[in-house]
Formats: sequence, C-alpha cells, structure tokens
Amino acid sequence: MSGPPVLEVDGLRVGFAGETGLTQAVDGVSLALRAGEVLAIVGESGSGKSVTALSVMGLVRGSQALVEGSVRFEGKELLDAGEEELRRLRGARIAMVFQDPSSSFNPVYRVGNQIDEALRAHRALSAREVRELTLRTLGAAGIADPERLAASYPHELSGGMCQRAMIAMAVALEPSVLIADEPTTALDVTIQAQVLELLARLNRERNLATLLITHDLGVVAEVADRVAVMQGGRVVEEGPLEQIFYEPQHSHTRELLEALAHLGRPRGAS
Amino acid sequence: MSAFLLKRLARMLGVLFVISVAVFLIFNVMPNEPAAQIAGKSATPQLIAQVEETWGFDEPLPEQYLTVMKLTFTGELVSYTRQLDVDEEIWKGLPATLSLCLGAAVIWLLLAIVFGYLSAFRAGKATDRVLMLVSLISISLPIFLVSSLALNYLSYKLELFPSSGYVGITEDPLDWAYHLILPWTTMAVLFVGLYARVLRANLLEVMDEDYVRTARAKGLGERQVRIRHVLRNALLPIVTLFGLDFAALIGGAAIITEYIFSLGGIGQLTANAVADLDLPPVMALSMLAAFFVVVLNTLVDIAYTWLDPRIKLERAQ
Amino acid sequence: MSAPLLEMTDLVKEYGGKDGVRAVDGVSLAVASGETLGLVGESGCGKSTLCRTVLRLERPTSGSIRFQGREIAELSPRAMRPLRRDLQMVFQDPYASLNPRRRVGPTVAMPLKLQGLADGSDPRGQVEGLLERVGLGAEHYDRYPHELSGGQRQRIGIARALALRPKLVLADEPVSKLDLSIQAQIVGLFAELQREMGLGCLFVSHDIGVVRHVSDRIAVMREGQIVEEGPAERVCEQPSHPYTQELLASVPVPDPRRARARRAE
Repeated sequence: MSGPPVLEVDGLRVGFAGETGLTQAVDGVSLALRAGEVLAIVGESGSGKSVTALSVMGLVRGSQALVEGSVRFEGKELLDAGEEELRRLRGARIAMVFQDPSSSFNPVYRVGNQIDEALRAHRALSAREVRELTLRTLGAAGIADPERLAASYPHELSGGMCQRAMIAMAVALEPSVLIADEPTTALDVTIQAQVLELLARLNRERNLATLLITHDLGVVAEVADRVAVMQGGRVVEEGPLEQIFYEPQHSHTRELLEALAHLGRPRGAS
Repeated sequence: MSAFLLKRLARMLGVLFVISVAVFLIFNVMPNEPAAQIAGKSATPQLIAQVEETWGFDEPLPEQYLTVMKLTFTGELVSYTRQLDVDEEIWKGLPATLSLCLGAAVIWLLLAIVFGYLSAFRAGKATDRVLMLVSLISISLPIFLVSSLALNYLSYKLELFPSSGYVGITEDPLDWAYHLILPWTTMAVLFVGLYARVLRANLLEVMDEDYVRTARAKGLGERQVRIRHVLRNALLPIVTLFGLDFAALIGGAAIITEYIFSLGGIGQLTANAVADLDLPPVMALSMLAAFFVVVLNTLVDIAYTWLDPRIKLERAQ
Repeated sequence: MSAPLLEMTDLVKEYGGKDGVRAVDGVSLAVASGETLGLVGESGCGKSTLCRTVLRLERPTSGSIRFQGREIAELSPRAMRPLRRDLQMVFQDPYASLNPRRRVGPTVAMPLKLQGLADGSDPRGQVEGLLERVGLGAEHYDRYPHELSGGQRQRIGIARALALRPKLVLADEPVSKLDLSIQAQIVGLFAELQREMGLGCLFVSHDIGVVRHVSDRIAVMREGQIVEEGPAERVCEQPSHPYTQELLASVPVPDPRRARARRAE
C-alpha cells in the first residue's frame, strides 16, 4: 500500500444531456487509489458514485454524456485514450464487477464460454489453455466444481455463484485494479459475507487495488482501508476507515452513520 | 421431447379437423346445388349424377363429411371445373411456391438484418432516419402495386426480366433464379420494412442490458459486442415472427405474387379455385395451409428452446 | 389474554403439484393487536408467499388462518372483501406499486371509495389529512408518482394502506429499495403510526437490523419454516438456532474495530 497511486481521478465531471438540459451527475470528483488498497466510495442513490466508476472504464454512454477532467491509470491518461487502447485495458488491467450477477451474464451462452471469451480477447492461447485458465480461476474464486459451473447457463446458478464467477472472470488476467459496483447489494446477507471475504482475500493475495462502490456502511467497515463519501456528484469527505467512522467531519457522513445506528437499535430506543 | 411431439401431433389433427369441418360447412351452406357446383359450369346431367354419387349428397351431413375426407386423403379429389386431379396439381405447384417463399425469405431476412443493425447502431442519426423511412414506405406499399409496377416497367418495358413462368431448379438453375428475381424482390419489399423495424426495436432494447455492459467491460471489441451479444439476443423474437409469417406465406399469402407473375404455384391454384368456387381444390389447399401452419409453429417452438436456454419445451406450449 | 389479531396454524402453501415446491411449510405464527412481529428471512425462504397467502391473495394448500377470531383460509374472494378493510398491505417496490397514470390523491382515495368510507362532503380534505399524517404535504395530492422520490412514494403506499384505519398491516420489505437515511425515516414513521393507531403489524424483511428496530417479537424463516421465534431482543442478543446465529454473524457490522475483532475470532 505504497508508492504512487495506481489510479488517479482529478476533477472528473460527467454531465448527461436530457430533455431538461444538462444534468451534472459527477461534479468535480478527485480520488486516488494506491496499489493493494481498498478504497470504498459510499453514497446514496443519485450521489454519482456509479457514474464515477463507469467513467474510469470509459463505459459511460457516448453521445449523451459530457466527460471532463482527468483519469490516470498507472500514469496514463484514459479520458483521451483511443477506443482500442481502452479495450486492451478493460478486463486485463482494470476489471469491473457489477451489481446484479444474474443479469450481468448473457443468458444464451454458458458461463464457461463467456469467461473463455474474456480471456481470448486479451491473450493468444489455444482453446484448451483458455479453458484451463478459466477453470483454474473459478477454483481460485472458491467454486467447488468449476467444470460444472462452466457448463451451466446463468439462470441455472444462484446469485452467489454467479457473482463468484463474475469476480473470477474479472481477476483471471491479474488486473491491477478491480472496480466493484455494489457487488453484494443484490445478494442474501449470508452470501454477501462470503463474497466480501473473497474480495478481501483477492485484495490481500494479489495486491489487487480495489475500488468498492456501495451504499452499505457495514460493507465498508468490513473491507475498506480508505473511504470517500459522495453526495450530489461531489466527494464531501475522504479519509482512512477509522477516521470516517469515529471522527466524521462532514454533516452528510454523520447523517449516514446516524441512519445506520438508528436502524440497528432495538425498538423504542432513539 | 416425444411427449411434446405427440401433443403437437394431436393438436395438428385437431386443427385440421376444425378447418375441414369449417370448409365443408361453408360449401354446404351455399345456395346452389352442391353437386352441380362441384361438377362445374359445363356439366352434363350425367356428370352431375356421378358427382352426386361419389360425394354422397343424398347422405346425411356427417356421412358426407366423412366421404369428402376419404376422398381428400386418398388422393381422389378431382376438380371437375378444370378437369384436373387435385393431388397432382398440388404436387406440381409446390416447388414454385416453395422456391418463391424461401428465396424471398432469405432476401428479406438478410436485408432486414442489415437495415435493422445499421439503424439501431446509428439511432437518431441520418442513416437511421432514412432507413426507417424506407421501411415505412416498404410496409405501406401494397404488394399488388409493387408487383404490377415491377412487371410493367422492368419486365415489359425494359425487358430486363421475364414476365412469367416458372423454371424448375433442376432444369436450369440460372433460369430458375432469373425467373424468380422479380417475384422475390417484390415480395421481400413488403417484409423487409417490417422486420427491419422490429429488429431495430429489439436491438435498442438489448443494447441497454447489463450483460452488454459486461461484455464491453471485459474488453471485447465493439463489433464483437454488437454481434455476439446484442444481435444474437435481439434476433430471438424474430424467429417466432418469421415462423408465423412464413407459414401464412406458403399457405397462400403468396397468392398475389404468384398470380401476377403466373408462377403456377399453389397460391395460384388457390386463387383459381376460389374464383371458380371449386370445392375439391379449396378443401385440399385449406388443409395443406393448416398443416403448414402447425408444422412451422412446432418447428419454431423447438428452435426457440434451442436458441434460448431459459425456455423449456413444456412451457413452450 | 384476548385472542390474537392474526393467527396462523400449520399453514402450508405448495406450488406445482407432485414435483412442486413447498414455499410455506407448516408455519404457525400469531400477531397480537398493537404488536409488531418481525419476520426475517433471506430470498427464497417463503416470506413473500406467506404474506400473499395470509392476505388471501392466494389460497393456502392447508392449515388455518384466523383473523380477528374468524377462519379465513377457505373464504371466497367475495367473502374476503369486507375483511380487507381491516387487513392491509404495504408493498416492497415503491416504483412498481403505484399506478403511474394516476395522481397521488386518487390513489389514496381509492380504497376509501371502494369501501364506502369516503367523506361525501370533503373526500379531498380527508386524503390531504392522510398525506400530512405520513409526512407529505397536502400539495402532493395532485402529483404523479414519477415526480416523487422512492421515499415519498413509499409514504404514499403507507397512506393508502392506512386510509381505512385497518387493524393489521402487512409490510413486505417496505424499505429495502430505499436509501439508508430514508429507510430510517420510514421505519420511524411506521413505528409512530403503529403506536398512535394501535395497529398490529407483520413486518417482513431480509434485513435483521431494520426488523429489530421496529419489532416487539421476531420470527426467523428459512426454507418455508420458522426456525426461531421470540422477543426481539432475545432473538438478536441470544439466538438459539444456528441459522439465526449465522444470519446475525453475517450482517456486516458498521464499526471497523468490532468488525476486525469479529474477524479475529
């Protein structure tokens, strides 16, 4: 967790042109993610956290979006990089995992094929080598029977299995950065714990810098090293984990902590 | 699978039964003497008597129906009006109809995929607007207008294409195609517009799906994303649409085209038979059309389970 | 001790016949008047099916449901109608449970009209009063759902459910789709209204933290069965069933030091 940041966002602004004019979803966001670190971006819906994550990957939809500012990966500017350059980075150097694992896989292809496809996009390997790597990665992601899972269709798998497969696909090529957008929100709480543990383990074992987007402060407390709180398209507070939880500076951070505490309390207490 | 097929077979028999009864009753309801009607315009009294006997018009209705069914399925139906054996005529006409429909289908599907793809991926831009306008026009043009205009200008006036007739593919493949180019094109014009629009709508919907975003996020090239993920999924509903359209086509919507281009297929047979109020061919052709519809629908259902792993056969019913 | 407001005994709901699934597999629960019973379970445990069956939106396969002492398991839809006044539901998805083409006012007024309780002289005033009671302004009467936030829409769902002053409210994941701070507000509103109106409440959620805050008693459901039941505090502090323990252990603790300590165990 040292050295220059592996991912740097500087003054990012993303606006969407709509019927009522320009909506500024992200309004001047600056962040830094260091190697091997887990940075959590917390915020409520509409805070701009997902759009920020998508912008890093260049996945914000072209014609209606106005993107300004700077996003640097290992020193290289991404916002003016060509499509082919971005393509080479996606999945191989910077990978992303999304919220709803069941709908994140194409329903008409088997899961194994879809992971193979991701590998083939970046490596010139034989079909057998590709499949071996797929199975190995699935195993590393804690799947007990990789072959059976690879032969399954997405709708045949539980949410937890799907998410593990998705994570496996993301880390198969040993990226430097993993962006996880609400990876456990759609999962049951017992499965959530397992998936978080997987993410934490991957972070430790592979020194994988992780950008974790979530609205759940409990998730943050479990895995994050640093936290950035977003509201209305801006980062209102940023700091080490303990500082955010025990010495929150900004009113919105305090609001979020308050709401959580309020909910977890027994009946009658307020 | 076998249970499914058996159910479908039962369904087909049911449909054929209903259609045959309907056609039979319609003819019986008509005011004229049925025997005289069937025997045709230039019938002699002897012929009329013969028809009466063969068709059993003195028997009660249900038995008449059974007699007609027997005649139909044993291939003994004869058209007195035109002095033809219905069976033979249908056999002779099938190749033309199938050639016309299959050829047109291939053309309209390929064009629709190209138009739909270009429109959807350039949605809102000039290409999209132009292609959708063209589609709208193509849907709106009546087929008889297009066929007649084509025939008149491209065939008679400019003599670019033959004006009529069908040449079997086994006789001379090039001539076969040459005779069919105009009919294929005019028929395709009608369907291209419709299919392009449907495909465009499906593509736009699929483009926003989560798995398309995943495909991009894992570093697939744009072309690969568009074809392997967007197009592949957007084509699914087209399969059902095509099954229904194609069945209707063979069963007789190709009538107008065949008539105008004198292709001598079963569409033309149907047109003639209906014009003459000639029961035997009408009966046989109605059953044939129904048969095609059921078979094609079943094939579409089976194809769907193969194309979309979420669908299981039992649910396809 | 009077009879419970709602009582289920060995309730079973099956789907799919022979090879089917038992979504609800012998559930026995009771809710007393003025009390909130929290029902916790993960996806697929059958809690939504239970709600639908209790509300008689579905017919139970077997078992008994007694509402206000009366057996309702076998009642026809027509016979259920007058009872619906006293038995209401708040749904999970505030975006899907409101008719997008109808304004807020008419949506809330509808149950009143259907049950013949609309104030002939001033139905609008009646509705505005309800809106204010749930924390919205009277000006929301003329708005459309799409003009409101998730939290506001959920308040409308509550207003609609409470319009008839029911005896029992069934809330199926009423706050899951809302942001945390809004969740806290809505849960607080629930608790407040319930105290004020003396409602009985069956509060269903996958989130034990939310359930804990609003319930007197908690029941834990898994694979169609109730595995544990008891006073809220006892279940949360001293869970006896292994599943309950697992559930509680999995809930992420929003406190880094405690989280670390727990991981070290």
